[in-house]
Amino acid sequence: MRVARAAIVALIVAIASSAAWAAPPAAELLDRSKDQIRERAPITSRGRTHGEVRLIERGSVRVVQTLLYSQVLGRVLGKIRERERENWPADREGHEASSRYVAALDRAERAIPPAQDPDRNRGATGERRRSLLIEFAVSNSREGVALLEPELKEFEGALTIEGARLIEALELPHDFIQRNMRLIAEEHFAIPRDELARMLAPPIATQGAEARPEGASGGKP
Amino acid sequence: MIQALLTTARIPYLVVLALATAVFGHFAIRVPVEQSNASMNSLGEEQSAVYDAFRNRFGSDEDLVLSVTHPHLLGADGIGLVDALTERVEGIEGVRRVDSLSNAVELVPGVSGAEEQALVSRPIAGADFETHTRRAVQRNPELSGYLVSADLTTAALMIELELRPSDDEQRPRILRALRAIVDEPRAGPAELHLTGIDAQKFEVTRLLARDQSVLIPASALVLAAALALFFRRVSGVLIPLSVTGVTLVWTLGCYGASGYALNTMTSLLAPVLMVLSVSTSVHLYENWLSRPRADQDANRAIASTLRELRRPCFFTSLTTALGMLSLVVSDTPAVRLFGAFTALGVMISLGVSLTLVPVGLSFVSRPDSAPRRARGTRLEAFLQFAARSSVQHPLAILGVASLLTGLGFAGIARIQQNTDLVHFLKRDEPLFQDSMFIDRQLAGIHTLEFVLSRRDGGSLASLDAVTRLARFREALLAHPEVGGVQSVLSLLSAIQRAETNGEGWQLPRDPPALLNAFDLLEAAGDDALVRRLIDPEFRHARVRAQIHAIGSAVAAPLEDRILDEARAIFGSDYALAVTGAFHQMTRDSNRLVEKQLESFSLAFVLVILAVGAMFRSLRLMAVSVIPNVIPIVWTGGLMGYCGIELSTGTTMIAAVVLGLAVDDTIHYLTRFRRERSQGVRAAVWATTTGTGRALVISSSVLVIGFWVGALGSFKPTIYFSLLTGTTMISALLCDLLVLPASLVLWDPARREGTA
Repeated sequence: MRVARAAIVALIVAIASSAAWAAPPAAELLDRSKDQIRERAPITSRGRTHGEVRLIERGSVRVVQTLLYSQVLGRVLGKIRERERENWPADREGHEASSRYVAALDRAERAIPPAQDPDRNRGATGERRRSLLIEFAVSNSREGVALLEPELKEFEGALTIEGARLIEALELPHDFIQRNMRLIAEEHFAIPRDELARMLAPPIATQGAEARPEGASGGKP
Repeated sequence: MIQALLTTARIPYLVVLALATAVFGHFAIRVPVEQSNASMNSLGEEQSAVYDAFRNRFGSDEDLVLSVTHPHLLGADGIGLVDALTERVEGIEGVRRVDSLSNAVELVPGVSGAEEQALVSRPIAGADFETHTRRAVQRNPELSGYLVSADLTTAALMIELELRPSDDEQRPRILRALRAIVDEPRAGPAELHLTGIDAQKFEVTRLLARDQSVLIPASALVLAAALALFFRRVSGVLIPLSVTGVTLVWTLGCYGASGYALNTMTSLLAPVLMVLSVSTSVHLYENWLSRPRADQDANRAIASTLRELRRPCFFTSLTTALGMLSLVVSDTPAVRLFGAFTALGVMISLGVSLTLVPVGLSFVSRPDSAPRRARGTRLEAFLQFAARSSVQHPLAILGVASLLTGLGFAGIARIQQNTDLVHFLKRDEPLFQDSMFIDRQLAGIHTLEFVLSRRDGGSLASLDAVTRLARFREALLAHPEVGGVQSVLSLLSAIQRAETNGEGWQLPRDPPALLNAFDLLEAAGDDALVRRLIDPEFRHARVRAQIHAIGSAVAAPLEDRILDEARAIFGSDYALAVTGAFHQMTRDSNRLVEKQLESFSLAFVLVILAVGAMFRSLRLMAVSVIPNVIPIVWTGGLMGYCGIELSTGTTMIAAVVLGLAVDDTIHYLTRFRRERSQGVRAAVWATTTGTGRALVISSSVLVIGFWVGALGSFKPTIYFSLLTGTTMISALLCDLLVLPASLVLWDPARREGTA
């Protein structure tokens, strides 16, 4: 009986943790109503902007948000895949997480509708660009990666996210997420490493509710 | 007043003349030289707007081409040289970019599709380097004829210059630097050549400057020699040459003070004015020498000469000036300036001649007439023969003249209108050889530029537009004059090849593939190569047709044929505009020739009206037309039979010569009228043998002066000089034979007698 009870508890914990993003308890990771953009930098290539990287404070959640907005989304995602391969080689811990993340990117790319302007007749609304929102989020209690299709609004050259459809949420090891957040931020922001680390670290938990559930992370605390 | 000028006022006059000449000289020596050749452009507002928009979108179309020929071009030695030259040329100030094999990029299949890769691997060394480079070049057929010759022995450096309209020195500076690179001693078997529209314009400017430095002293020497030969007196040389010198300084001073720079046309001002300005002074001097010996008072003889000749001299100068002034109807600013300032110079020359010649003569004593008579035997024998022929055989003379004129008209029908900067150069000129070499090796030295757009302003990124563009490309390549075509299709083909891991020339065949290719082009952002072929919104596409060395005679109909084909291919939904420096030059030269016909008509009417005003006689006005039109027809015929083309140089002959040729007619008819009371035949005899001498001398001086231009290095200059001189001889013969024969035949008294 004791074994059976332990098994049930373990199963509940496992289910709860595996559903950390999809289920209501993860809502805080996705709740953009509290977003405060601390830093933002465009993603450019040859003078063309393909999106933006943002460092966001979402309450107690710290988010590295990559908003891709490009007519060559496949190429941009190809570059991300390439970067993942370089950063997470097969012999490095986290490689498997990276592979899961890359596979999720492929699924997300397929899930995004094709360009809306087959004739490329550009005008005020004509558009060939497709968009994807990638969020690496971490709080004291949980972390995850979300792939979303954003609903964007352009105003005076700046993009604002009006809403987003969740395509897939991934629960990946804490270390993988933390390192990727740091690598992305370092690539796009000229911020001293210590300060960056402070910006990316969630505030110290003050209440038990913020404590990380045991076993929720596959990595180090 | 004349007496005062010849006595008390002559020294003050000379002082004022010297001071004024010094002031004008101050401006004359500061006349700058135009380097841009902008004054030769005659584009209308619409055409200029099209060309300006083209250059703003796609940059300059006047690329310079530096070719490198090497037996192992694709080996480390050849590519190493191309690479070193590319780097050097990129370092020249004012050069925007250089495209060559060593910095070219190809598209290759990558993990996520087409990826960029340097065409030439680094380091430029190694056993397999040549094999790898050869394969890379063969993988990219778009490069053939553009950056490398079909036989892979000649590479091209396509040099695009920055657009600096206000920097007149930019292009000469770059061309001097490039010419120095081409000419520097080089170890090994490499051979370098340089061409391009700018190089041609620069060379033309250089040759004209060189011609000026040769022709002006040569003209002065020849004029001096001719004057010495005819007059055998120091004053007979110095006085006319002084008039010429003062005229030149004053005219060029006015030109400089007006803020103009010497251009291709106005650089001919000095040699042409030297010849034109001597005419009046020759007539005055000859008349002074010919005055009866009984008239012993020196000043009275001078005054008589002035009184007798001032009216005909005024009208002869006026008609010459009107001939020149007719050029102001031209669309080409350079031609307008040339016409206006030559006309001004002729009138300045008249004013100076009517004052300086008498003042000069007042310092010299008159010679005995005996030696002159002895010297003039052969000339006088000719004049007597001419007088006798026209009096005794007027019908025969007019018959021969009519026959020759008929032949002339037949020859005129054979004249071809053609301006070809390269073929204007002599065959031994380096630029001619360079241009022809590059033309043979690569896809052509000229480019016709086309800009395609949709009439509704929409994007060209559609299968329909690309399919039509591909058909247009095929149509262009079907013309033997077209050696190659660059357009956005070259980029789309390279993308498609890399995306599909294919080979050779291929274009996206379905909308998704095409749109993906355009997405990649858009993502290329401000890539210079993409921006040179299509605008960022894909609304305007450039089609660059490389054309072999042809002149405007072939280029203009070729353009028309291409535009006809384009209309059939693109239909009414698309607009295709033709533009570019070569198109502009073709259009300018054709327009110049058309306008010259207008100029000639205007000159003809003005000159004949001036003759009418001079003589106030319709009969003389009508008769004066004959000896002035016939020489021009003969020269036209000569051009047709000799294959001399109507170009920017030769087209001005008619208007210039008409104004000059009528001078002899005016002098002849003036004397004829004076002698008329003794009967037409006697008057003809007296005029031909009397005034004929001055006509022969002044015409001979003009002919010799013009023929000095044959020493020029530029074919239009040579043709202009030789043909103008030849026409002057014809005009003289007509004035001494056809004009008197006409007067004899149309003598009212004779007709009454016959009746």
